[in-house]
Amino acid sequence: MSAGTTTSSSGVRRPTKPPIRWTIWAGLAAFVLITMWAVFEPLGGIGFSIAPLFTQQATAGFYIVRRFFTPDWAFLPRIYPAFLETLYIAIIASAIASAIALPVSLLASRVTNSGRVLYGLVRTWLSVIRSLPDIAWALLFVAAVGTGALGGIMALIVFNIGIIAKLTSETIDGVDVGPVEAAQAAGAGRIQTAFSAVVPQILPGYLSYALYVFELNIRASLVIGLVGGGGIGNVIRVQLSQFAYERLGAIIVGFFVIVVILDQVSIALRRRLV
Amino acid sequence: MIRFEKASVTYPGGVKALQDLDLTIEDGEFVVVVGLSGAGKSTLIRAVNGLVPLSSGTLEVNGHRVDGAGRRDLRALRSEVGMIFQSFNLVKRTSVLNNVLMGRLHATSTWRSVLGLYTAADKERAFQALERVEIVEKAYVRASNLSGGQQQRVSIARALAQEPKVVLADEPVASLDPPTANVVMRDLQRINRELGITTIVNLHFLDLARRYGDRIIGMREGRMVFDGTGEQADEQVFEDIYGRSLTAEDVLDAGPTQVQLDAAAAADAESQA
Repeated sequence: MSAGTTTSSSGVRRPTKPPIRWTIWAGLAAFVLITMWAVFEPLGGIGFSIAPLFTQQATAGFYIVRRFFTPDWAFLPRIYPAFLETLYIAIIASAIASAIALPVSLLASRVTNSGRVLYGLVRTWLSVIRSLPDIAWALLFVAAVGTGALGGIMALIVFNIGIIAKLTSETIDGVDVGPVEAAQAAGAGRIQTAFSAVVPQILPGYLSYALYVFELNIRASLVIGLVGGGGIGNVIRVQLSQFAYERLGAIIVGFFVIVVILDQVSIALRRRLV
Repeated sequence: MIRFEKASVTYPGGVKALQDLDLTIEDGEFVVVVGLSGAGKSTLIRAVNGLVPLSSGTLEVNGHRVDGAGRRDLRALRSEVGMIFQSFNLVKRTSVLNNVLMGRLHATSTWRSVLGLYTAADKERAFQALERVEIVEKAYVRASNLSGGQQQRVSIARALAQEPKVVLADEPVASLDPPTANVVMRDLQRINRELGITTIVNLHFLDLARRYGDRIIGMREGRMVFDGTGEQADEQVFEDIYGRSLTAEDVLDAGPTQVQLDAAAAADAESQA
């Protein structure tokens, strides 16, 4: 017990608060520098400025915006089949993707897959899938199978597997390993262990992710259709090329209402799962 | 029969959890392993079903060679060895019956177990196991809705459903209150006596060890320092095993009389009802 150090009544030295590390300051400085580099044109940036918002150029655009806000409601009933196609695309894609993603996520977690090679292959494959956004997959599949719902569905399936498998495999990583050990001790095989000790624990999470990608698919169908993947996006593409902004306004409002309704249904379902 | 010969376990960090163990356990014995935490009790028990591999030496269980066994051999061995854990290790999200049926996985084809299609005979075995630990009325209750003592009895039923020749219990009562601990220990003792299942139990409470252990193995720093009957294991022996004088923390309770035991059992039965 030397003078100058804090000691508690038990005589054990209390630790002092560690100083703020220089790496934090260095990281902060680097963050500021990189942002400046992105902003200023002389440094190679894009010359970001909010000035054009107040010039003549932008105010001319308000003419188009005004047409958006006077929707042509009479057009809505005519696109009912396209809305339905979007819904079907989302349902089919999420169902198939969920079915494939469950075994894939079991292969993508250390808890359920002890084989090094297969684990590495599946993880790599999943990160490749996730490296491309939904629209890129749609461009690929529409090029491969032609315009229409099939290309859109296939693009969404691949995109969804990436999301569900990532989230589910991370849930598996966090699972209580006690039951896994118990199953192994009872002489269970690897697949048996996965399905009897792990799947019951992750089921609510997995179903919740499946519902989440269904919501994503409804929204994504807009972009998917723009590049020829079928559904409501297709109609938007046609109306956009005819500069029919009043019809587009109506479509967007209708789409918004449908998304909100389906999200509410999904939330209600999820609450009953967990 | 379980036979360790010059068995050693060294963990990756360099900890020698088991050193040159020579130990033979005959069929039908009820063995209690005692020692401080870190003395190698858990390693000893987990070596028996191959959850912890030996670093050197040999181990034979019911004619199966455990050291160096492949995945298939280990599964064959583990199908004959039931295990009970300190924290029960039940799948809490599913029913008691599904948990007990886990004990039938070794005899169920993979596709059947994935779809949950257990045979009627296996379900019957699971129900009988639940009846033996007197908790059959909870068969369709979620495991998370049971008390600690009830969960541990379900895990005993899971081990029994395997129809094992050996039962391993790794600190089975460490998470339970004293009356429940005695109920669980008596369940294990009854199963050993009635079914002739070789039982190895890890305990760190010396009063429980003396009360239930027909044979007591003392472990200290990875070595076996005592091997004798419950009567032989007096306080001096335990002080040698623990390497220090005994304290109140080494006993579970003052030692209930038979009247108290019966009252505890009755109270437990009441809480189930």
